[in-house]
Amino acid sequence: MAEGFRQARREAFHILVLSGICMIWTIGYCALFAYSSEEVQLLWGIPHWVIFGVALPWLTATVYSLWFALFHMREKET
Amino acid sequence: MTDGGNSSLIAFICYTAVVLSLAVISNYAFKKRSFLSEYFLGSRGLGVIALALTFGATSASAGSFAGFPSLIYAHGWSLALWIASYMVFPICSMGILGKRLSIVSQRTGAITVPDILRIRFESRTIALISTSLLAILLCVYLVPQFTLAALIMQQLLGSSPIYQDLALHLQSVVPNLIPENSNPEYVFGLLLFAILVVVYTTFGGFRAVVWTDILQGFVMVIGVLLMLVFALIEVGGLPKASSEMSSMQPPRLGTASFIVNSPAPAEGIRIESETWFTEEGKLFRTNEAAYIPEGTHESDPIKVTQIMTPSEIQRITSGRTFALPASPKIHELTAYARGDGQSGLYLHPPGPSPSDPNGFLPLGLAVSFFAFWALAGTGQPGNMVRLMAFTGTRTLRRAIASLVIYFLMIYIPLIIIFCCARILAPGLDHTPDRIMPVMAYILSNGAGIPWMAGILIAAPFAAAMSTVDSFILMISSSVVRDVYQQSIHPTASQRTLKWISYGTTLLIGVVATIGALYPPQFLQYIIVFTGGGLAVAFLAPVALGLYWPRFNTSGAMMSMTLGIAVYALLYLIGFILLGEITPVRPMGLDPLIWGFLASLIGGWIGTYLRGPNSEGVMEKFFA
Repeated sequence: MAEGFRQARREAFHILVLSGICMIWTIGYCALFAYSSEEVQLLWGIPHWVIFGVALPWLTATVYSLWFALFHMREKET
Repeated sequence: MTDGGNSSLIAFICYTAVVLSLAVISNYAFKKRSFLSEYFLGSRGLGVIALALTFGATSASAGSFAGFPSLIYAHGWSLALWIASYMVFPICSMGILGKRLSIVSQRTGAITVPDILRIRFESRTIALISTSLLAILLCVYLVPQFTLAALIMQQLLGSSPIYQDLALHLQSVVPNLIPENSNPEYVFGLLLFAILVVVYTTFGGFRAVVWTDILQGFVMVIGVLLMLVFALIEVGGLPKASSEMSSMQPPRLGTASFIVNSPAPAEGIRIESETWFTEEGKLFRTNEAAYIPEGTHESDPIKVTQIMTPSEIQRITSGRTFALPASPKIHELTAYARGDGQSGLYLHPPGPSPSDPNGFLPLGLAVSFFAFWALAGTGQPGNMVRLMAFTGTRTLRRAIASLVIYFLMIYIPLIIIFCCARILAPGLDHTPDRIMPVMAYILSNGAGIPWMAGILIAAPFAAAMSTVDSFILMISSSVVRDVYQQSIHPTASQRTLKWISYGTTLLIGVVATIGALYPPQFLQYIIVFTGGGLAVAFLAPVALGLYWPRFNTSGAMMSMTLGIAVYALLYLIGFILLGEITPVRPMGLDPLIWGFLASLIGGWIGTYLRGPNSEGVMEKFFA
């Protein structure tokens, strides 16, 4: 098998791992803190669970995706 | 609303002119290239911006600008968790399959997804099965998209006197065109939308679709960002909005009619939609227009919403009197199944729900949706086709980076805007689908620039068009390439293929338009069902075919059939038990996830029943 094919497969695996981590972070945090019936804390008008359970992983995934796409993905295999 | 209606009409006319110009330019500029590759794949010439925006615009269907805002309005901040999977949507949907699909389609000359499957599995049968699935599911998918687009057109332009006159003129000229249960404004909107989309798609092909997608992509993001700024200014900042949301109690939904003591005059009596009124000290808002015909005393019942939050009632009624030309008579009022009399539910999941005592988004459903969006996005054939239309990994890499930013600029602001809408436009809970145009008018009037409404509400019809055009072309390409050229007339000339392509594209548009003249019930459920069905049918066979050399024809057949069978079975059981297109969800997980797992298992079992495909295939796909 060509190196280019193996590289593409590694990159796909990488993306699946990233998705898994984001899912565990978001669902895990929200399961623990968002579904509670206690009064919701706000920061700048945004609920805490949105900031730490959705916005923060979203920003992390965005930064990681930018790094992955611009610096990690290889040009090879044509 | 008349000024807003006319500004919307002007915006629509300008927009139409630009879109049609792009189609004409596209048709003439690339006449000399190979017809099929140019018409269905733009000669694989997409650049970074084109790839990112056509991908983003096609993914953001009418649902993103009509359904999603209405859900935020109805259920509050819970929608942040519902849509959270979009944090990985761009990298999953473009990154997992993009590189391989692009390279393999160039090597093999494939121009459709069934084409790829036919070459990879050396089987015309699998190409025909996949073409049939694609054509059937996409045709079904197109009908609710056309219906939603017509509703959007009716909402956006319906308040313009010119539009109303033209719709009535249409009714007088061709009365048989308006079905019994429909109205002329809906049909006129449908025809306008259908003619525009079908003409530019038929005439301009893939390149025109991509160019209009770029335009539509910019319109969407500019519209959303402008709305965000105006909404935050109008509401007095997000902290104030969320603080008010924390005290909000879900409303009660009901019906009411309006009564007069003397018979109504010749012109009848009309009470507009979104009119406030009080009855026995309770505050209500009409969610539809009521009409008392000449010589009668009472209107038909219409939908109304009762406001239940004390601070909100005080804010709305303070210093105001509500004079109506008729007296209201409340028929029924229904309390929310979850959240009646409770405050704070709009700030966290599962959120309030009018029908489900477990709330809008129980945890199992949140898990389901996180997987659903990523899987459905990656498995959409419409997205896969775009990944076959560029050359070079550099384009893909930069397009992923652009799309990541693009989605961040669309979806997070939408949540904030329509949470603010609960404060700025209360009492629309019975018809939340109207919230997008209503907010456009409120925000543009609040900013003192009413014509801005036309620009803000261009976003939803841009979203509807960009999805519909791509899907029409995809069905057409599959029929022409995979059925006509491969199975019926392999030696057909470019000229014949050209006219067959034009005819097929036109025919599909006409069929979808006729379907939307008689809109089916359960629109949103049909969209979810067909969208999920496409992902289940194509994701595992394409992904395994691209990444697993041992995966073979019997594996692909079993993967496709088992996946779609499990998916359809869960819907069928739901239909038998509940009488509507709602699936059963074992362990709280969506049928798409079960269908995808079944597809993977079927693929694995089927692969080990037979030997691998030929060396020639290995050479083309994996060398």
